[in-house]
Amino acid sequence: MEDLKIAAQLFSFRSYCRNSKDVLETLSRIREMGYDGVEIEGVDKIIDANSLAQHLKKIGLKVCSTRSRLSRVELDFTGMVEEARLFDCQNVGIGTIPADYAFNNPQGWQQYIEYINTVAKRFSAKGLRATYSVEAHEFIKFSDCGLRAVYTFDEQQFKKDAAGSYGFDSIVDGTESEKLFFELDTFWLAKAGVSPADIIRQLVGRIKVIRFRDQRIAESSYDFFYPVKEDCEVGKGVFDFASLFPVLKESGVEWISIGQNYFTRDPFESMSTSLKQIQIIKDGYKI
Amino acid sequence: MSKLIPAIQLYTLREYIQTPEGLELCFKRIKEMGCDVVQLSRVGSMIPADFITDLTKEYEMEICVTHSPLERILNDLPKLIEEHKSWGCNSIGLGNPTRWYLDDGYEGYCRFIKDLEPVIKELKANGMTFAYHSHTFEFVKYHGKYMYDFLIEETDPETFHFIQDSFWMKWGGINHIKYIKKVKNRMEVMHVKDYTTRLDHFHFVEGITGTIGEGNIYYPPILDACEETGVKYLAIEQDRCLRDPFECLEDALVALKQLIQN
Repeated sequence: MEDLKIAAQLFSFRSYCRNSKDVLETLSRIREMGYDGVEIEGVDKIIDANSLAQHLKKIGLKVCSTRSRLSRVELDFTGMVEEARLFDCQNVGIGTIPADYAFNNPQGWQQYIEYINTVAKRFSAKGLRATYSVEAHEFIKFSDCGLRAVYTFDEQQFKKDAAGSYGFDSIVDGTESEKLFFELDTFWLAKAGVSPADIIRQLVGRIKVIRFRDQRIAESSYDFFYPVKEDCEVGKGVFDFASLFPVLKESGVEWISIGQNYFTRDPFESMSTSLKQIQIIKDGYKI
Repeated sequence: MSKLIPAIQLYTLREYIQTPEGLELCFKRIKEMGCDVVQLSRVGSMIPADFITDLTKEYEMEICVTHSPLERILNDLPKLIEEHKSWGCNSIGLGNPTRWYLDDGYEGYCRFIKDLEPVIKELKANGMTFAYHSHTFEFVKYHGKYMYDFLIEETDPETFHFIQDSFWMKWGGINHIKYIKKVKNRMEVMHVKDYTTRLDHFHFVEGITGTIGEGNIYYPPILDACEETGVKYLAIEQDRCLRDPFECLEDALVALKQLIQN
Protein backbone atom coordinates (compact mmCIF):
# COMPACT_ATOMS: atom_id res chain seq x y z
CA MET A 1 0.00 0.00 0.00
CA GLU A 2 3.06 2.27 0.14
CA ASP A 3 2.56 2.98 -3.52
CA LEU A 4 -0.79 4.78 -3.34
CA LYS A 5 -0.12 7.30 -6.07
CA ILE A 6 -1.83 10.54 -6.97
CA ALA A 7 -2.99 11.45 -10.47
CA ALA A 8 -4.71 14.44 -12.01
CA GLN A 9 -7.84 14.08 -14.07
CA LEU A 10 -7.09 15.54 -17.48
CA PHE A 11 -10.76 16.42 -17.89
CA SER A 12 -10.23 19.14 -15.29
CA PHE A 13 -7.88 20.81 -17.76
CA ARG A 14 -10.13 20.35 -20.77
CA SER A 15 -10.03 24.03 -21.68
CA TYR A 16 -6.22 23.76 -21.79
CA CYS A 17 -6.31 20.79 -24.17
CA ARG A 18 -7.62 22.36 -27.35
CA ASN A 19 -4.75 21.26 -29.61
CA SER A 20 -1.84 18.85 -29.49
CA LYS A 21 0.67 21.49 -28.37
CA ASP A 22 -1.59 22.51 -25.49
CA VAL A 23 -2.06 18.91 -24.40
CA LEU A 24 1.68 18.32 -24.18
CA GLU A 25 2.27 21.56 -22.33
CA THR A 26 -0.56 20.86 -19.89
CA LEU A 27 0.83 17.41 -19.17
CA SER A 28 4.25 18.90 -18.48
CA ARG A 29 2.71 21.39 -16.08
CA ILE A 30 0.82 18.58 -14.31
CA ARG A 31 4.12 16.78 -13.83
CA GLU A 32 5.79 19.95 -12.55
CA MET A 33 3.07 20.31 -9.92
CA GLY A 34 4.19 16.98 -8.53
CA TYR A 35 1.52 14.60 -9.74
CA ASP A 36 2.61 10.99 -10.26
CA GLY A 37 0.13 10.32 -13.01
CA VAL A 38 -2.72 11.47 -15.13
CA GLU A 39 -6.12 10.18 -16.11
CA ILE A 40 -6.21 10.44 -19.91
CA GLU A 41 -9.56 11.41 -21.31
CA GLY A 42 -10.98 13.02 -24.42
CA VAL A 43 -7.76 13.77 -26.29
CA ASP A 44 -7.70 10.79 -28.67
CA LYS A 45 -8.94 12.95 -31.53
CA ILE A 46 -6.60 15.83 -30.70
CA ILE A 47 -3.25 14.08 -30.45
CA ASP A 48 -2.02 10.71 -31.65
CA ALA A 49 -1.33 8.17 -28.97
CA ASN A 50 2.28 7.60 -30.08
CA SER A 51 3.53 11.11 -29.55
CA LEU A 52 1.49 11.38 -26.37
CA ALA A 53 3.11 8.24 -25.00
CA GLN A 54 6.57 9.51 -25.95
CA HIS A 55 5.99 12.79 -24.19
CA LEU A 56 4.63 11.11 -21.06
CA LYS A 57 7.71 8.90 -20.93
CA LYS A 58 9.98 11.89 -21.39
CA ILE A 59 8.48 13.87 -18.53
CA GLY A 60 8.00 10.79 -16.32
CA LEU A 61 4.24 11.02 -15.93
CA LYS A 62 2.35 7.73 -15.62
CA VAL A 63 -1.19 7.03 -16.79
CA CYS A 64 -3.53 5.68 -14.13
CA SER A 65 -6.43 5.07 -16.46
CA THR A 66 -7.80 5.95 -19.84
CA ARG A 67 -11.42 6.94 -20.09
CA SER A 68 -13.68 6.54 -23.11
CA ARG A 69 -17.34 6.35 -23.83
CA LEU A 70 -18.84 2.89 -24.09
CA SER A 71 -19.56 3.46 -27.79
CA ARG A 72 -15.83 3.57 -28.52
CA VAL A 73 -15.57 -0.13 -27.73
CA GLU A 74 -17.45 -1.00 -30.92
CA LEU A 75 -15.92 1.76 -33.01
CA ASP A 76 -12.31 1.60 -31.98
CA PHE A 77 -11.50 -1.42 -29.81
CA THR A 78 -8.00 -1.81 -31.25
CA GLY A 79 -7.31 1.87 -30.61
CA MET A 80 -8.24 1.46 -26.96
CA VAL A 81 -6.03 -1.59 -26.58
CA GLU A 82 -3.19 0.15 -28.39
CA GLU A 83 -3.46 3.18 -26.10
CA ALA A 84 -3.35 0.94 -23.06
CA ARG A 85 -0.19 -0.72 -24.40
CA LEU A 86 1.50 2.57 -25.31
CA PHE A 87 0.63 4.22 -21.99
CA ASP A 88 1.46 1.07 -20.05
CA CYS A 89 -1.91 1.33 -18.31
CA GLN A 90 -4.20 -1.60 -17.61
CA ASN A 91 -7.19 0.40 -16.44
CA VAL A 92 -9.42 1.07 -19.40
CA GLY A 93 -12.47 3.16 -18.61
CA ILE A 94 -15.67 2.31 -20.42
CA GLY A 95 -17.82 5.03 -18.90
CA THR A 96 -21.07 4.61 -17.12
CA ILE A 97 -24.35 3.07 -18.24
CA PRO A 98 -25.65 5.02 -21.27
CA ALA A 99 -29.08 6.58 -21.04
CA ASP A 100 -30.41 4.44 -23.89
CA TYR A 101 -30.37 1.45 -21.57
CA ALA A 102 -33.10 3.27 -19.66
CA PHE A 103 -31.17 2.98 -16.47
CA ASN A 104 -34.18 3.36 -14.23
CA ASN A 105 -35.62 -0.03 -14.95
CA PRO A 106 -34.35 -3.50 -14.13
CA GLN A 107 -34.69 -4.85 -17.69
CA GLY A 108 -32.45 -2.12 -19.11
CA TRP A 109 -29.83 -2.93 -16.53
CA GLN A 110 -29.97 -6.63 -17.32
CA GLN A 111 -29.42 -5.95 -21.03
CA TYR A 112 -26.58 -3.61 -20.22
CA ILE A 113 -24.93 -6.09 -17.88
CA GLU A 114 -25.12 -8.86 -20.48
CA TYR A 115 -23.41 -6.59 -22.99
CA ILE A 116 -20.82 -5.25 -20.61
CA ASN A 117 -19.83 -8.78 -19.62
CA THR A 118 -18.83 -9.45 -23.22
CA VAL A 119 -16.91 -6.16 -23.28
CA ALA A 120 -15.12 -6.99 -20.04
CA LYS A 121 -14.20 -10.40 -21.45
CA ARG A 122 -12.66 -8.84 -24.58
CA PHE A 123 -10.48 -6.51 -22.52
CA SER A 124 -9.62 -9.22 -20.07
CA ALA A 125 -8.34 -11.38 -22.95
CA LYS A 126 -5.91 -8.56 -23.75
CA GLY A 127 -4.77 -8.41 -20.14
CA LEU A 128 -6.66 -5.18 -19.45
CA ARG A 129 -9.18 -4.17 -16.82
CA ALA A 130 -12.44 -2.79 -18.14
CA THR A 131 -13.45 -0.10 -15.66
CA TYR A 132 -16.98 1.11 -15.03
CA SER A 133 -17.45 4.67 -13.76
CA VAL A 134 -19.86 4.76 -10.86
CA GLU A 135 -21.99 7.90 -10.81
CA ALA A 136 -25.23 8.43 -8.88
CA HIS A 137 -27.94 6.89 -11.03
CA GLU A 138 -26.81 3.39 -9.96
CA PHE A 139 -28.28 4.18 -6.56
CA ILE A 140 -31.75 5.08 -7.65
CA LYS A 141 -34.08 2.39 -6.52
CA PHE A 142 -36.00 0.96 -9.43
CA SER A 143 -39.14 2.20 -7.73
CA ASP A 144 -38.04 5.81 -7.70
CA CYS A 145 -37.86 6.51 -11.42
CA GLY A 146 -39.07 10.03 -10.95
CA LEU A 147 -41.58 10.68 -13.63
CA ARG A 148 -43.61 7.57 -13.02
CA ALA A 149 -43.80 8.23 -9.34
CA VAL A 150 -45.20 11.67 -9.97
CA TYR A 151 -47.53 11.18 -12.90
CA THR A 152 -48.76 7.61 -12.96
CA PHE A 153 -48.57 6.87 -9.36
CA ASP A 154 -49.54 3.37 -8.42
CA GLU A 155 -49.46 2.76 -4.72
CA GLN A 156 -49.44 -1.03 -4.91
CA GLN A 157 -46.58 -1.07 -7.38
CA PHE A 158 -44.67 1.47 -5.31
CA LYS A 159 -44.79 -0.71 -2.22
CA LYS A 160 -43.66 -3.72 -4.20
CA ASP A 161 -40.78 -1.85 -5.78
CA ALA A 162 -39.67 -0.02 -2.67
CA ALA A 163 -38.23 -3.25 -1.38
CA GLY A 164 -36.37 -3.64 -4.68
CA SER A 165 -32.70 -3.16 -5.34
CA TYR A 166 -30.34 -0.77 -7.07
CA GLY A 167 -28.72 -0.92 -10.46
CA PHE A 168 -25.50 -0.87 -8.47
CA ASP A 169 -26.30 -4.20 -6.83
CA SER A 170 -27.10 -5.79 -10.15
CA ILE A 171 -23.88 -4.67 -11.79
CA VAL A 172 -21.72 -5.69 -8.83
CA ASP A 173 -23.35 -9.12 -8.59
CA GLY A 174 -23.92 -9.65 -12.30
CA THR A 175 -20.32 -9.21 -13.43
CA GLU A 176 -17.11 -11.11 -12.77
CA SER A 177 -14.92 -9.64 -10.07
CA GLU A 178 -11.66 -10.32 -11.95
CA LYS A 179 -12.95 -8.86 -15.20
CA LEU A 180 -14.99 -5.75 -14.48
CA PHE A 181 -13.54 -3.04 -12.26
CA PHE A 182 -15.00 0.14 -10.83
CA GLU A 183 -13.91 3.71 -10.62
CA LEU A 184 -15.56 5.71 -7.84
CA ASP A 185 -16.00 9.45 -7.60
CA THR A 186 -16.60 11.07 -4.23
CA PHE A 187 -18.75 13.80 -5.73
CA TRP A 188 -21.15 11.33 -7.31
CA LEU A 189 -21.31 9.13 -4.23
CA ALA A 190 -22.31 12.14 -2.17
CA LYS A 191 -24.93 13.03 -4.73
CA ALA A 192 -26.32 9.51 -4.40
CA GLY A 193 -26.38 9.85 -0.63
CA VAL A 194 -24.37 6.70 -0.01
CA SER A 195 -21.37 6.42 2.23
CA PRO A 196 -18.17 6.15 0.15
CA ALA A 197 -16.49 3.98 2.77
CA ASP A 198 -19.32 1.42 2.58
CA ILE A 199 -19.11 1.27 -1.20
CA ILE A 200 -15.33 0.86 -1.12
CA ARG A 201 -15.72 -2.01 1.33
CA GLN A 202 -18.21 -3.69 -1.00
CA LEU A 203 -15.76 -3.49 -3.87
CA VAL A 204 -12.52 -4.66 -2.28
CA GLY A 205 -10.08 -5.62 -5.04
CA ARG A 206 -12.30 -4.21 -7.75
CA ILE A 207 -11.26 -0.56 -7.48
CA LYS A 208 -7.89 0.53 -8.79
CA VAL A 209 -8.63 4.23 -9.15
CA ILE A 210 -10.76 6.44 -6.94
CA ARG A 211 -11.48 10.02 -7.89
CA PHE A 212 -11.45 12.69 -5.21
CA ARG A 213 -13.64 15.67 -5.94
CA ASP A 214 -14.86 18.05 -3.29
CA GLN A 215 -17.67 20.53 -2.88
CA ARG A 216 -18.24 23.52 -0.68
CA ILE A 217 -21.47 24.97 0.59
CA ALA A 218 -21.91 28.56 -0.54
CA GLU A 219 -24.48 31.15 0.33
CA SER A 220 -27.49 31.30 -1.88
CA SER A 221 -29.19 34.63 -2.22
CA TYR A 222 -32.63 33.29 -3.03
CA ASP A 223 -33.21 30.17 -0.95
CA PHE A 224 -31.21 29.47 2.16
CA PHE A 225 -32.65 25.97 2.47
CA TYR A 226 -30.91 25.01 -0.75
CA PRO A 227 -27.49 26.61 -0.53
CA VAL A 228 -25.30 26.34 -3.58
CA LYS A 229 -23.02 23.34 -3.66
CA GLU A 230 -20.05 24.34 -5.77
CA ASP A 231 -16.86 22.60 -6.87
CA CYS A 232 -13.77 23.51 -4.93
CA GLU A 233 -10.21 22.37 -4.32
CA VAL A 234 -10.04 18.91 -2.84
CA GLY A 235 -9.64 19.13 0.91
CA LYS A 236 -11.09 22.65 1.05
CA GLY A 237 -14.72 21.55 1.03
CA VAL A 238 -17.03 19.50 3.22
CA PHE A 239 -16.03 15.95 2.24
CA ASP A 240 -14.11 14.06 4.86
CA PHE A 241 -11.29 12.51 2.84
CA ALA A 242 -9.22 11.65 5.89
CA SER A 243 -11.88 9.17 6.98
CA LEU A 244 -11.49 7.27 3.69
CA PHE A 245 -7.81 6.49 4.02
CA PRO A 246 -8.11 3.64 6.53
CA VAL A 247 -10.59 1.96 4.17
CA LEU A 248 -8.48 2.64 1.09
CA LYS A 249 -5.62 0.90 2.80
CA GLU A 250 -7.48 -2.41 2.79
CA SER A 251 -9.24 -2.07 -0.53
CA GLY A 252 -6.41 -2.51 -3.02
CA VAL A 253 -6.81 0.97 -4.52
CA GLU A 254 -3.64 2.02 -6.36
CA TRP A 255 -4.42 5.52 -7.51
CA ILE A 256 -6.16 8.59 -6.20
CA SER A 257 -7.19 10.77 -9.10
CA ILE A 258 -7.85 14.39 -8.26
CA GLY A 259 -10.43 16.27 -10.26
CA GLN A 260 -12.46 19.44 -10.28
CA ASN A 261 -15.02 20.24 -12.95
CA TYR A 262 -15.43 23.97 -12.47
CA PHE A 263 -12.95 26.46 -11.13
CA THR A 264 -13.21 29.83 -9.52
CA ARG A 265 -9.53 30.59 -10.12
CA ASP A 266 -6.68 29.31 -12.29
CA PRO A 267 -7.17 25.53 -12.65
CA PHE A 268 -3.44 24.90 -12.35
CA GLU A 269 -3.34 26.78 -9.06
CA SER A 270 -6.39 24.97 -7.75
CA MET A 271 -5.18 21.53 -8.78
CA SER A 272 -1.84 22.25 -7.17
CA THR A 273 -3.59 23.19 -3.93
CA SER A 274 -5.66 20.02 -4.09
CA LEU A 275 -2.55 17.90 -4.51
CA LYS A 276 -0.90 19.49 -1.49
CA GLN A 277 -4.03 18.98 0.63
CA ILE A 278 -4.25 15.29 -0.23
CA GLN A 279 -0.54 14.76 0.30
CA ILE A 280 -0.85 16.19 3.80
CA ILE A 281 -3.75 13.86 4.62
CA LYS A 282 -1.96 10.92 3.02
CA ASP A 283 1.25 11.57 4.94
CA GLY A 284 -0.82 11.63 8.11
CA TYR A 285 -1.75 8.03 7.39
CA LYS A 286 1.76 7.00 6.33
CA ILE A 287 0.64 5.19 3.22
CA MET B 1 -30.41 -3.35 22.26
CA SER B 2 -30.29 0.31 22.05
CA LYS B 3 -32.11 2.79 24.25
CA LEU B 4 -32.97 5.26 21.50
CA ILE B 5 -36.65 6.17 21.42
CA PRO B 6 -38.47 6.81 18.15
CA ALA B 7 -40.58 9.95 17.99
CA ILE B 8 -42.69 11.63 15.31
CA GLN B 9 -41.86 15.15 14.16
CA LEU B 10 -45.28 16.69 13.49
CA TYR B 11 -43.87 18.88 10.71
CA THR B 12 -44.49 15.90 8.43
CA LEU B 13 -48.20 16.23 9.20
CA ARG B 14 -48.28 20.04 9.05
CA GLU B 15 -51.32 20.07 6.79
CA TYR B 16 -53.30 18.04 9.31
CA ILE B 17 -52.53 19.93 12.50
CA GLN B 18 -53.94 23.37 11.85
CA THR B 19 -57.16 22.77 13.80
CA PRO B 20 -57.73 21.29 17.28
CA GLU B 21 -59.68 18.37 15.77
CA GLY B 22 -56.90 17.67 13.29
CA LEU B 23 -54.24 17.72 15.99
CA GLU B 24 -56.25 15.34 18.14
CA LEU B 25 -56.70 12.98 15.20
CA CYS B 26 -52.95 13.03 14.58
CA PHE B 27 -52.19 12.24 18.23
CA LYS B 28 -54.65 9.36 18.01
CA ARG B 29 -53.16 7.94 14.85
CA ILE B 30 -49.59 8.32 16.09
CA LYS B 31 -50.55 6.49 19.25
CA GLU B 32 -52.11 3.72 17.16
CA MET B 33 -48.89 3.43 15.16
CA GLY B 34 -47.13 2.57 18.39
CA CYS B 35 -45.33 5.81 19.09
CA ASP B 36 -45.57 7.74 22.37
CA VAL B 37 -43.39 10.75 21.65
CA VAL B 38 -43.89 13.69 19.31
CA GLN B 39 -42.12 16.90 18.44
CA LEU B 40 -44.45 19.89 18.04
CA SER B 41 -43.73 21.87 14.91
CA ARG B 42 -45.95 23.99 12.68
CA VAL B 43 -48.93 23.37 14.95
CA GLY B 44 -51.75 25.78 14.08
CA SER B 45 -51.20 29.01 15.99
CA MET B 46 -54.92 29.22 16.80
CA ILE B 47 -54.83 26.02 18.84
CA PRO B 48 -54.76 26.94 22.55
CA ALA B 49 -51.81 25.68 24.56
CA ASP B 50 -54.17 24.26 27.19
CA PHE B 51 -55.81 22.12 24.59
CA ILE B 52 -52.41 20.61 23.73
CA THR B 53 -51.76 20.04 27.44
CA ASP B 54 -55.03 18.14 27.70
CA LEU B 55 -54.17 16.10 24.62
CA THR B 56 -50.79 15.07 25.97
CA LYS B 57 -52.51 13.83 29.14
CA GLU B 58 -55.39 12.14 27.37
CA TYR B 59 -53.16 10.30 24.90
CA GLU B 60 -50.20 9.95 27.27
CA MET B 61 -48.06 11.57 24.64
CA GLU B 62 -44.64 12.89 25.50
CA ILE B 63 -43.36 16.04 23.80
CA CYS B 64 -39.60 15.76 23.39
CA VAL B 65 -38.93 19.17 21.88
CA THR B 66 -40.68 21.83 19.80
CA HIS B 67 -39.95 24.09 16.93
CA SER B 68 -41.15 27.46 18.10
CA PRO B 69 -41.26 30.68 16.07
CA LEU B 70 -38.21 32.85 16.62
CA GLU B 71 -40.41 35.90 17.23
CA ARG B 72 -41.97 34.18 20.22
CA ILE B 73 -38.65 32.91 21.52
CA LEU B 74 -37.27 36.45 21.50
CA ASN B 75 -40.37 38.43 22.51
CA ASP B 76 -42.71 36.10 24.35
CA LEU B 77 -40.34 33.86 26.26
CA PRO B 78 -42.01 33.70 29.72
CA LYS B 79 -45.27 32.51 28.19
CA LEU B 80 -43.48 30.08 25.92
CA ILE B 81 -41.61 28.62 28.90
CA GLU B 82 -44.86 28.29 30.79
CA GLU B 83 -46.49 26.48 27.89
CA HIS B 84 -43.55 24.11 27.53
CA LYS B 85 -43.65 23.36 31.24
CA SER B 86 -47.33 22.57 31.06
CA TRP B 87 -46.55 20.11 28.25
CA GLY B 88 -43.78 18.55 30.28
CA CYS B 89 -41.26 19.57 27.65
CA ASN B 90 -38.00 21.12 28.71
CA SER B 91 -36.50 22.04 25.39
CA ILE B 92 -37.50 24.92 23.13
CA GLY B 93 -36.34 24.32 19.59
CA LEU B 94 -35.85 26.53 16.59
CA GLY B 95 -36.43 25.24 13.05
CA ASN B 96 -34.12 27.81 11.48
CA PRO B 97 -33.06 31.41 12.00
CA THR B 98 -35.10 33.86 9.97
CA ARG B 99 -33.84 35.74 6.94
CA TRP B 100 -33.50 38.77 9.20
CA TYR B 101 -30.29 37.05 10.32
CA LEU B 102 -29.43 34.72 7.45
CA ASP B 103 -29.34 37.41 4.81
CA ASP B 104 -26.41 39.04 6.61
CA GLY B 105 -24.13 36.02 6.53
CA TYR B 106 -21.47 35.99 9.21
CA GLU B 107 -22.61 39.26 10.78
CA GLY B 108 -26.14 37.89 10.88
CA TYR B 109 -25.10 34.77 12.77
CA CYS B 110 -23.12 36.83 15.27
CA ARG B 111 -26.19 38.96 15.83
CA PHE B 112 -28.27 35.80 16.16
CA ILE B 113 -26.00 34.36 18.84
CA LYS B 114 -25.96 37.70 20.67
CA ASP B 115 -29.73 38.16 20.53
CA LEU B 116 -30.22 34.69 21.93
CA GLU B 117 -27.93 35.22 24.91
CA PRO B 118 -30.68 36.50 27.26
CA VAL B 119 -32.93 33.68 26.07
CA ILE B 120 -30.29 31.09 26.87
CA LYS B 121 -29.76 32.66 30.30
CA GLU B 122 -33.48 32.59 31.05
CA LEU B 123 -33.82 28.99 29.91
CA LYS B 124 -30.85 27.99 32.00
CA ALA B 125 -32.47 29.56 35.07
CA ASN B 126 -35.54 27.47 34.34
CA GLY B 127 -33.54 24.28 33.88
CA MET B 128 -34.44 24.13 30.22
CA THR B 129 -32.49 23.93 26.98
CA PHE B 130 -32.59 25.62 23.61
CA ALA B 131 -32.29 23.36 20.56
CA TYR B 132 -31.01 24.63 17.21
CA HIS B 133 -32.11 22.57 14.21
CA SER B 134 -29.52 22.60 11.47
CA HIS B 135 -29.76 22.11 7.73
CA THR B 136 -26.88 22.49 5.30
CA PHE B 137 -26.54 26.23 5.08
CA GLU B 138 -24.67 26.35 8.38
CA PHE B 139 -21.75 24.76 6.55
CA VAL B 140 -20.89 27.90 4.67
CA LYS B 141 -17.37 28.94 5.64
CA TYR B 142 -16.72 32.34 7.15
CA HIS B 143 -13.19 33.36 8.05
CA GLY B 144 -12.04 29.85 7.23
CA LYS B 145 -14.46 28.13 9.56
CA TYR B 146 -17.90 26.58 9.20
CA MET B 147 -20.69 28.61 10.73
CA TYR B 148 -21.82 25.43 12.43
CA ASP B 149 -18.52 25.23 14.30
CA PHE B 150 -18.98 28.83 15.40
CA LEU B 151 -22.41 27.91 16.72
CA ILE B 152 -20.95 24.99 18.65
CA GLU B 153 -18.05 26.92 20.08
CA GLU B 154 -19.50 30.35 20.71
CA THR B 155 -22.53 29.23 22.68
CA ASP B 156 -23.20 27.85 26.14
CA PRO B 157 -22.71 24.07 25.93
CA GLU B 158 -25.02 23.51 28.87
CA THR B 159 -28.07 25.20 27.38
CA PHE B 160 -27.51 25.78 23.66
CA HIS B 161 -28.22 22.35 22.19
CA PHE B 162 -28.66 21.01 18.68
CA ILE B 163 -31.06 19.01 16.56
CA GLN B 164 -29.17 17.55 13.63
CA ASP B 165 -30.85 16.10 10.61
CA SER B 166 -29.66 12.96 8.85
CA PHE B 167 -30.97 14.08 5.47
CA TRP B 168 -29.49 17.56 5.40
CA MET B 169 -26.10 16.29 6.50
CA LYS B 170 -26.21 13.78 3.66
CA TRP B 171 -27.45 16.36 1.21
CA GLY B 172 -24.41 18.50 1.89
CA GLY B 173 -21.98 15.59 1.78
CA ILE B 174 -20.96 16.21 5.38
CA ASN B 175 -19.57 13.48 7.62
CA HIS B 176 -22.55 13.21 9.94
CA ILE B 177 -20.96 10.95 12.52
CA LYS B 178 -18.14 13.44 13.05
CA TYR B 179 -20.71 16.14 13.78
CA ILE B 180 -22.78 13.96 16.08
CA LYS B 181 -19.63 13.51 18.13
CA LYS B 182 -18.90 17.25 18.06
CA VAL B 183 -22.19 17.97 19.84
CA LYS B 184 -21.74 15.25 22.43
CA ASN B 185 -24.22 15.67 25.29
CA ARG B 186 -25.72 18.63 23.45
CA MET B 187 -28.30 16.80 21.38
CA GLU B 188 -31.29 15.00 22.90
CA VAL B 189 -33.34 14.82 19.72
CA MET B 190 -32.12 14.07 16.23
CA HIS B 191 -34.22 14.22 13.08
CA VAL B 192 -34.15 11.09 10.97
CA LYS B 193 -35.37 10.54 7.47
CA ASP B 194 -33.99 8.85 4.42
CA TYR B 195 -32.23 10.14 1.33
CA THR B 196 -33.98 8.70 -1.69
CA THR B 197 -32.83 9.47 -5.19
CA ARG B 198 -34.66 9.76 -8.44
CA LEU B 199 -34.24 11.26 -11.86
CA ASP B 200 -35.61 14.74 -12.21
CA HIS B 201 -37.27 16.01 -15.36
CA PHE B 202 -33.93 16.69 -17.00
CA HIS B 203 -32.55 13.26 -16.13
CA PHE B 204 -30.31 14.52 -13.38
CA VAL B 205 -30.15 12.61 -10.16
CA GLU B 206 -31.71 14.47 -7.27
CA GLY B 207 -31.82 13.54 -3.62
CA ILE B 208 -35.17 13.96 -1.89
CA THR B 209 -36.47 13.33 1.60
CA GLY B 210 -37.76 9.81 1.90
CA THR B 211 -39.20 7.19 4.19
CA ILE B 212 -36.62 5.44 6.36
CA GLY B 213 -35.78 2.07 4.88
CA GLU B 214 -36.42 3.17 1.30
CA GLY B 215 -33.34 5.27 0.68
CA ASN B 216 -29.56 5.31 0.76
CA ILE B 217 -28.58 6.35 4.28
CA TYR B 218 -26.78 3.57 6.09
CA TYR B 219 -28.02 4.00 9.65
CA PRO B 220 -26.23 1.53 11.98
CA PRO B 221 -23.03 3.58 12.50
CA ILE B 222 -25.12 6.76 12.86
CA LEU B 223 -27.29 5.21 15.56
CA ASP B 224 -24.21 3.91 17.35
CA ALA B 225 -22.79 7.43 17.41
CA CYS B 226 -26.13 8.77 18.68
CA GLU B 227 -26.11 6.38 21.56
CA GLU B 228 -22.52 7.13 22.48
CA THR B 229 -23.17 10.84 22.60
CA GLY B 230 -26.36 10.95 24.63
CA VAL B 231 -29.07 11.30 21.99
CA LYS B 232 -32.38 10.13 23.43
CA TYR B 233 -34.99 10.55 20.73
CA LEU B 234 -34.97 9.97 17.01
CA ALA B 235 -37.72 12.11 15.54
CA ILE B 236 -38.98 10.76 12.22
CA GLU B 237 -39.57 13.50 9.72
CA GLN B 238 -40.31 13.52 6.02
CA ASP B 239 -40.63 16.92 4.43
CA ARG B 240 -42.20 15.70 1.26
CA CYS B 241 -44.27 12.53 1.07
CA LEU B 242 -45.14 10.98 -2.27
CA ARG B 243 -48.03 9.10 -0.66
CA ASP B 244 -50.15 9.36 2.47
CA PRO B 245 -47.85 10.93 5.11
CA PHE B 246 -49.34 8.74 7.83
CA GLU B 247 -48.33 5.66 5.87
CA CYS B 248 -44.85 7.05 5.30
CA LEU B 249 -44.49 7.65 9.03
CA GLU B 250 -45.83 4.23 9.88
CA ASP B 251 -43.42 2.48 7.50
CA ALA B 252 -40.54 4.62 8.72
CA LEU B 253 -41.42 3.81 12.32
CA VAL B 254 -41.36 0.07 11.65
CA ALA B 255 -38.02 0.39 9.83
CA LEU B 256 -36.54 2.59 12.55
CA LYS B 257 -37.63 0.26 15.34
CA GLN B 258 -35.93 -2.57 13.49
CA LEU B 259 -32.76 -0.52 13.12
CA ILE B 260 -32.80 0.36 16.80
CA GLN B 261 -33.30 -3.24 17.84
CA ASN B 262 -30.44 -4.61 15.78
